[in-house]
Amino acid sequence: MKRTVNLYVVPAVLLVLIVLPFLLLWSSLPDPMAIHWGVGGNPNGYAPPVLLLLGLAAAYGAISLSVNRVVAATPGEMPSFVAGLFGVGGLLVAVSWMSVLANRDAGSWQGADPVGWFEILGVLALALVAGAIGWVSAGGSAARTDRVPGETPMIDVADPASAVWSGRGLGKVTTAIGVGVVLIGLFTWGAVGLGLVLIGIVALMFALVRVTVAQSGVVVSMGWWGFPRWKVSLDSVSSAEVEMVRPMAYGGWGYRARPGVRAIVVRSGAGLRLVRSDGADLVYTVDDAETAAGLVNAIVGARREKGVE
Amino acid sequence: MLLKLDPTSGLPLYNQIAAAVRRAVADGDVVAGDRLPAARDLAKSLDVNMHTVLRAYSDLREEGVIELRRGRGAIVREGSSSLAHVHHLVVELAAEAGRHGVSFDEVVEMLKKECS
Repeated sequence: MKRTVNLYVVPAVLLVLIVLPFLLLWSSLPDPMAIHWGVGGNPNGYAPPVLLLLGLAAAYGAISLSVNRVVAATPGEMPSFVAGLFGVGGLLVAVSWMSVLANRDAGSWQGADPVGWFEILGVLALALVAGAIGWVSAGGSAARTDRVPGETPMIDVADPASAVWSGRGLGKVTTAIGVGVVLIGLFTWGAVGLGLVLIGIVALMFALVRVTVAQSGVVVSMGWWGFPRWKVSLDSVSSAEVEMVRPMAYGGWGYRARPGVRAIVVRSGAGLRLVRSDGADLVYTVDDAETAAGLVNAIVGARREKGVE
Repeated sequence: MLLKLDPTSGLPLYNQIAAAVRRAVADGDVVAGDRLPAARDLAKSLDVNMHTVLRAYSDLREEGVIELRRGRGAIVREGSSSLAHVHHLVVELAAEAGRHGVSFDEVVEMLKKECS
């Protein structure tokens, strides 16, 4: 029920609110109307009102539909998606009202009211408030995807303190996207090309994760070049599990922070979950997570025995 | 890939790393085409200098156990398991000989006799 309200009813109401100012004030709008304002606050771009109306409505329609498709495939509340849905809706509603009111009875688009920082801040504030309402409405930070505790495998090594496990997880689709974006960026001029290359490199960074488990800690490194690389101490790790990672349950791919867990998701499927006594759990999608978890449990178990003695 | 070091062997660390890889290859835990941990990752997880790991890797390459390719890392070579197995035995033999005070020449003599 709440899902239906969050995903369908509220977006539909927001869509109506986007269209509403045009319907109410259609006859008082100049054609073309001002749709863009310069740094000084004066109008410097114009389009027929019908184009702005259709553009805003179509943009929100497309965003709602794609968010709904993603969320429909996933059980549980998804605060970040609902916050995004509400926030973008609020932003577009504000833009729609502001544009129409500035053009009201203007005569021509040059005559539209100026738009300054005050109005822009107002629009952004409205979007933020709408996003926050979405976040709270979907359960906010209290919402937690139901987690069935995974298996906690053990491996039999004579001396877990001197064993090392290493493995990696590769996201094939992310790799393809990253390579594609970098290539497009290399053949594009100027700042746009540079931006695309950077975006592609970030995608490639999240296409490969390598994990090394040893007595002194768990080393995680990103991308083929192994940067960034960091080490997680096993002192705070109480056990390790194999988890079947569904990216949608984490809100997508990449670095994912959810209540009580931080994850590097490069692909779906089995991953290593480090259950920590202080701080959030850590999840890495690597192949052969069972051996990795087994070694972590062996090391942690051996330490505990030593502590008891 | 699971590697087991042997700190009781008293060998230098780079030898322990190489021996662990050889043993894993000889036991079939690691097969041709498998990728060894990135040298920097392994060094950080063992709290050793990266060059210690690289020294082990370059020893393994000279023995023909792995291939080192820039950008692709260290890959276990085809047909390395029998080689690694024999090498593993030789390392043990050398250690045993040292422990019992058998000289290098005596060991070579014994091997020559066995192999002829």
